Amino acid sequence: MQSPRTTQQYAGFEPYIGPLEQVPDGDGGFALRFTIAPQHLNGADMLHGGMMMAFAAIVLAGTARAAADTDVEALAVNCDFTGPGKLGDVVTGRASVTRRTRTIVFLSCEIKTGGVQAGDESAPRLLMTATGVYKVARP
Amino acid sequence: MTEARDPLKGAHDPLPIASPRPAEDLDGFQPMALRDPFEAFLGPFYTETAENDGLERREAFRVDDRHVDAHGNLHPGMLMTFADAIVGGTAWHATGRRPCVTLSLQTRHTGTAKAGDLVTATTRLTHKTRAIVFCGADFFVDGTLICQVTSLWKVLGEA
Repeated sequence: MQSPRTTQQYAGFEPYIGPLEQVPDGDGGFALRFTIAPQHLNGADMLHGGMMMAFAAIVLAGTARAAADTDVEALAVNCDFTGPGKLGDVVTGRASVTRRTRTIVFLSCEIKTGGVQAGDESAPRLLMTATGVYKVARP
Repeated sequence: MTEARDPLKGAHDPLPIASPRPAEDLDGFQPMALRDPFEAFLGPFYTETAENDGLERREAFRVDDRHVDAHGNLHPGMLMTFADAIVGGTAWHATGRRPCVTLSLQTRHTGTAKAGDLVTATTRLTHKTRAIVFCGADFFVDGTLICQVTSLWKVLGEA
């Protein structure tokens, strides 16, 4: 499998809103992490919904790209907001492939915070669940 | 979660945050006063100058090098951020300007945009109960639909 593109390889949206860090995942899968910084907040000093959705879209697309072993295009992304994030929270996103056909990849994703850093004993808390449908790029 | 906000709300609110790029003169649009740091970070965004009810509004942003993916196409995450900002305005107006948060947002991508394109959007209110607002928006480049969004918002403090 081709390794997912990291966020440092081009200038554009992903490095601009980051840094987003690729982290090892137990199942040999793909996970991304970022720490909520002041520019990621909304007017109520919580994590902005747009940043949370953008992060989910990046995790979904990275996982789809790895599964398809080529580039993918988003057809549909669905995001459910299950909890708020605050400044300094370390946020981790993981996605899994629900089904892959020759032309389409279906995925689901969870965005969590808490209990992910060494020494952090807080229970993981779910911020978002998301699903995505991606089209495999024609060769 | 995103606090719904009114791009033109009054002087008692926090001061708008400047975007890193200057606003341009656009026919029919004026810069939004952005009070969410993440929106200002990606702005400027624009709202129509024409009179409207706050529910169905035209909004816009110019795609630049901060908004694109490795192929130079508009990043879906950028479109989702703009969508969250503008449908939040519709939820806010639909509830008499009460605080609302995003419950869910769905995107259907029918196209994309390149740096330099002006993305325009039209917001809509679909349905409203005491506690929940159903709203959405369509996004266009040069009259071609590139994305449709539906969204649910919760009115804070209502069961």
